[in-house]
Formats: sequence, C-alpha cells, structure tokens
Amino acid sequence: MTNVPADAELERLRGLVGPSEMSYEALQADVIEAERVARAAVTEMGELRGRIVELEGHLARARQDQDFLQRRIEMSAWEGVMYRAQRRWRISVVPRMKRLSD
Amino acid sequence: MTPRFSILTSVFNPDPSHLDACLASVASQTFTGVFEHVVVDDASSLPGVRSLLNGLEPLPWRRVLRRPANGGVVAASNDALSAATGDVIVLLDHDDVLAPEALARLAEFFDATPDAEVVYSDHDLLRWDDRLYSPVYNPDFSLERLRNHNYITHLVAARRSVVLDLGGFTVGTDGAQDHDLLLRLAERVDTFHHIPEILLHWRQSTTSFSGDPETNNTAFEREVDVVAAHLGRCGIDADVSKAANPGVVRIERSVHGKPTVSVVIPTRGTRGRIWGVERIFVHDAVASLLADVDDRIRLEIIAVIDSGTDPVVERGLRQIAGDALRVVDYTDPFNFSDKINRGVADATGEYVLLLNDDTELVRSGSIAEMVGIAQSEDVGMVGAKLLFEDGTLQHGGHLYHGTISHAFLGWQGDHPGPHRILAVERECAGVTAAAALLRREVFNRIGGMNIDLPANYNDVDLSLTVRAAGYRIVWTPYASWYHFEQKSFDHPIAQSEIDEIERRWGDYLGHDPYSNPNLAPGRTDWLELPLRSGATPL
Repeated sequence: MTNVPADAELERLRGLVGPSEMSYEALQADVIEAERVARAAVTEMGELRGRIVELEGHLARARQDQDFLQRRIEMSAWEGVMYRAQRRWRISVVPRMKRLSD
Repeated sequence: MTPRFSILTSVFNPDPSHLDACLASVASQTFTGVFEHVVVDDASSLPGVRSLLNGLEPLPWRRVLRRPANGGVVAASNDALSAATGDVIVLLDHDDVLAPEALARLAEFFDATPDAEVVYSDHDLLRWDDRLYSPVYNPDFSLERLRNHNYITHLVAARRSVVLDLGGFTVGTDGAQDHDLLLRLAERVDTFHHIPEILLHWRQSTTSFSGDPETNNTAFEREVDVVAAHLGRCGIDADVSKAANPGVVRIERSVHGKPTVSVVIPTRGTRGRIWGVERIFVHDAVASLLADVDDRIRLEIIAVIDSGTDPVVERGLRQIAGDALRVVDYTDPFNFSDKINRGVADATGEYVLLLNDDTELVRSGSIAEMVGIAQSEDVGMVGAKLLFEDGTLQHGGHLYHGTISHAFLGWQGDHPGPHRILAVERECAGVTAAAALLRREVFNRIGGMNIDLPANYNDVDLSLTVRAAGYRIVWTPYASWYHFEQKSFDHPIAQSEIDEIERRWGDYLGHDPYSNPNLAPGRTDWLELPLRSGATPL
C-alpha cells in the first residue's frame, strides 16, 4: 500500500465518511486488515501453486522412468541383448572413440 | 602422461558387507594403468571388519595398513596419504562404491587436461538395499557454493603433490576433513575441473557422515569452523554459523566502511493492484527500501522517470525519499538499458543496485548482504531471490540450459531446492537486473547495459558481459524482494532482441556451467534426462 500522506486524498476520504476522525481511522484499519487477509490468501494459494509446480517435475521424472521401464519389460530376450549392446556402444564406446579422435 | 592413482580409504567399523562392496569396486575398475589402493584400518573393533581385512587376497596394487589405536578419520587419512606413491590421490570412503569406469575416466581427463590439479565428478546415492537413487548432477566449480556447503563431496581426485604441499588433512577437522581439504585446495589452485558423469555411489548409512546431517552435529559444527577458517585465510571478514538447512553454513559478511549504494530505479509511474490494494509501484518499492534502516550502508535513490509520467509520481517520491532522492528525466522512447545507464551515470555510490520499480523489499538487510558479497574483487554482480506476489519463486538465478530462463520458476519461495541449491549462495550464469548489485566501477568498466536490447534480455547480456570480463556472478537467497512482474511488464520479446542476444552470446548460451549436461534442456527444475534420474539400472 502506498504510504503517501496525500492531503487531497485525506480530504476526499473525510468527505466520504464525515468529519469524525475515528471513522477515518476505522476505515484505514479496515483497508489494512483487508490487505492482510488478501495477502494471506494469495500466499496460501502460492504455496499450493508452488507445490504443484514441484510435483509436476516429480511427475515428469516418474513418467519418463515408467516409460523406460515399460519399454524394457516389453522387450524380448533378444531385443534386451541388442538394447544393452547398443546402450553400451552409445554411452561407453562412442564417447571413448570420440575422445580418441579428438 | 597417464597419472598413477592412489585411492585412499580409511576404515573404521563399517558394515562389513559395505566395506566388501567398496573394496570390490576398486578391484573391478576397467582402468588398465597403474593404481594402488591404500587402505588404513583405524583400529576397527568389529570382528567382521577385522576378519574381512585379514582375509583379503594379497594383491600387488592393494596395501592394508593398521593403526595401533583409533585416531579418527583425519589421522587415518593422513597415514594413507603418507603411504601413497601415486601422482593423483582419489578419496574413497570405506562404504562407498566406485563406478567401474571411474579411474579410466579420471585417467582420460588428466591425459586430456595435463594442468588439472583437482577433478571431481557427479555421484548418486546408494541405498541400504544396494539400489541407486537420487543422482547428484553437480555444476562446474562453484566456489561460493562450496563455501556454503560441500556440494562436491565425492568423487574427488587431486594431485598428491598439491595435497602434500597443503600439509594433508587438517587435524581437528574430523567429519569435515573433506570440506576443509577442498576449501584449502580452492585457495591454492585456479579452478577445480568437473566430469559430469556419475563415478561414485555414495552410501547412505548411519555409520558414515552421509546420513542425515542433523544427526552429525559435531561434523556440522566443524563444517562451520573450517568455513570460518577458510574465509579468514581469504581475508573475508564474516560471521559463520549453522544455517537453517542441515549441512548448510550461513556466512554473514561484514560490510567495510559505510558505502553508499545508488539504487537506480527506472519508472514511468505504473500503477497496479497488489493484495487487493491499488499502488503506484515505485512508491512502495522505494518506501520499502527506506523503511529498512541499515546502519551499514547509505542509500541514494536515483529515479529515472519517463517524460509524460504523472507528476504525482515524482511528488510522492520526494515525500518518501526526501534528500536521498535524485531524479533523472528520461525523454527518449522506452529503453530500459539506456535508462539504467543514464541512472548509473548520475550515481555517486561505490555500488549500484539496479532495481525494477515493481518490487518490494522482503528480507531486511538485503542490500548490505549483497554489498558484502560484491566487496570481493572477483565478484562482478550479485543477484537476489525474487518472489511473485503469491510468494512463489520468480528468480533463483538465470539458467541458460536449452533456454533462457529463471531457475526453479514457480517453486515455493522458501523451498531449499534439490540438493539445497536454493538455500545457498552460489555462482550463476546470470541474474536478473530486476534486483542486481554491482560495484559501480565494474558497471562502468564493462560499458554498462546494451542499449540494442531495450526491453528483453538486457540482463542476460549484462550477465554474460560481466562473466566474459572474468568476474563471478553470485546469487544469494539472503537478499529478497517481491517482483510483481506480471502486473507491470508489457514488452513482448522482439525478434531483433532474440537475434541480438544470439549474435552476441550464442556460444555461451549453449553451455551453462552451473547446470549439468545430464539435466533436461529447457526445464528449469533440474529434471534429469531420460535414463539418468536414478531409475533402477539395467
């Protein structure tokens, strides 16, 4: 909330609520309390939103693991052998050959 | 020339099966060069351990030494170091497991990088049932993060001569001896090298310090001591204590003198509704700074105000900031970079804080915290934690890994992040200029902000310019603002801005040293690539 003692705004609000200074202070207190409540609600929503974003990451991780395991389970024995050989080639042999060629 | 390796393992009462796995992992290395495994038994009392060590098959590359009495891990490690004969030492805890290709990869790396003195790898965790999980994909060397916590842990290999020059492991640091050694190495060598591959499986058990750090209170206190000693040796005056997160050290640097910080805040008096209440953003941004009285610094507020802005904005600022306010009238078409440059040109402070007008200070003492870090000559820029209106994370440092983004965008604001990455000060590829602090001489030396990027990516360009000039950029969670970006920013990214940033920094943007190639490009949440997330290996 802007903390500017604006004389014009003060006069405008006094015009709205009448000459009683107490009424103005009560209105101010209401605004501050309303802001506090709004802020707490927004923050609470943010906590949930943040948790969802984090869980989306966990879900993506679980899905890619599940996809991988599913594909692995569905392989025949021969496909499994081929898969392991290809994987070994890809992650072990190819980098070494590349390093040697560098 | 391929170095000879000495693997050092001090043993004290581990689970015998874990020790057996550790020893077997050394025996099954694919490396065909010269290595030795120096095992020092620190007077283990468990019969299973004693019989395992007594029954080991004699091998030319393995030496088992026995201490007459238990002396602690430092004494045992120093014995192992004294007995070592290799060019490079490799630290291996008595219950950890080396990947079969660990030594081979280290050898390849040292061959390709002959001047490398310290090398570390990624690691994952080894569960009680021997399953691997939770891979830890480290960044390249991050000194600030190492000060905050030992993110490296294992696998570490270092030139034996360098470690001997340092005097080996420091007496009295048991439990924090690795962290101490790494910090002393960091003082000695230019950089640590990083192999982004999992070369070690770190056992999670109650007999090692890798269990819950909270249960290792003594070790944690020694972490505090070794970090304090390191900072003292580096001439950094700071209070060091345990942070809220286990294993993380809190470093509160002293601010020298009472420097002036010029807060450069461009504005056109945008209004918006935050938490249900209408505000003029710049008024609340400045008011929140000035309400946080901090005797360690002086503030100078430089508002760069667009022509045509409602006069009530400047009047209000004068009421809020009084003599601390200086106004720069900006009459040209909108250009954030140019506005910042004009503001800094008018600044008199030793430091400049670039601050968006749609912010509000969250954490008391944030500016002094950033100044404390920016005092280091090799730090070029310091960034802060920024939160959206709802408290979720807007900025946890820049990430240039497949995309230009903010790390952990949208996570809970107080989340420590994976491996406590959001709970520690750390180097980043870049930080947002929505709240960034630089020494003014650094800003001027690099030529200020690039006016060819009027609205977007100017902070990316600034960050990369700072790094290209040889400085580190540090992000800290101990400085924090709200950033109501969604409520005030209306400049879609122009193709010319994309072209300009790619023209200038295409190569840099392809490799973020503080991310890791095992992480999925384009993601901001440290999600691993498929097959690299710790699923049961096949």
